[in-house]
Amino acid sequence: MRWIAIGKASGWDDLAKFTQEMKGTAEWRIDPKCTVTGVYAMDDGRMIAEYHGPTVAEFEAWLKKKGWSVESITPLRHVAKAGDIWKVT
Amino acid sequence: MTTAQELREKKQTYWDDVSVGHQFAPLIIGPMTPTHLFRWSAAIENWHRIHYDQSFAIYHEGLPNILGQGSWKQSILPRYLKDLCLPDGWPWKVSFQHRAMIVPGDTITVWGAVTKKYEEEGLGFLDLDVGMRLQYDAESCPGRATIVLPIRGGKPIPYPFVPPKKLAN
Repeated sequence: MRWIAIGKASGWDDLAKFTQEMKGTAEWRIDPKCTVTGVYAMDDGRMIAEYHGPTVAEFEAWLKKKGWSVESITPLRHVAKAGDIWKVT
Repeated sequence: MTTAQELREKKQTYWDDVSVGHQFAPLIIGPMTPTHLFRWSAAIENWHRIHYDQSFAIYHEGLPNILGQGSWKQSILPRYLKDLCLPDGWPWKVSFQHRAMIVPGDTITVWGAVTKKYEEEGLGFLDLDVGMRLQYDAESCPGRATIVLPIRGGKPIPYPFVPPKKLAN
């Protein structure tokens, strides 16, 4: 299953801080079954994170550990990536 | 990572010098990158998209990322055993399971530990537990192997290796 979280993370608008928080494998590879597959830092200060795992609980724990102020966590339905359309659910 | 020059200059490990419980020096590989995976796919012409197309792997196959190839793992453990045996020993056999997936970012520790030591027809045999452990301690390839090392003052290990009849099956 995949989920998208929208929220804010203090200081992550700074590239050095963003890199520190996300570059190391342990930062995004939560465990063998749980991966934060992408994080977008938007110009208005909000963040989007995409997560893959069997349940959302590990994602919630990761967001909490990273200090995110979470607006929403929602399952993904389908995705377009440069013309490739994927049905995710 | 062991260099070719280090292998050329490697000193022989003798059967006499290894005891049950001995842990051989590990081989550390990684962190793996998409380039490592693509290089292997290209080299063996394995064009399954789960190994190089991240969108396909993630959104179509439901994987956490592109995956390290099983055939790559199958090349690494024999290579590790071969390196342990150089220059005059013989990595006789190895079997293992594919468990935890390997993805870009993973660092792999290839390891071997002696579980049994015995002599047959003047040749020194070692049974090993082997594996490829990931950075979060998941075991990706648990398995067993048997290598043959020279005995000091003993006969040379035949090349190509022919196992003693008692062990052949």
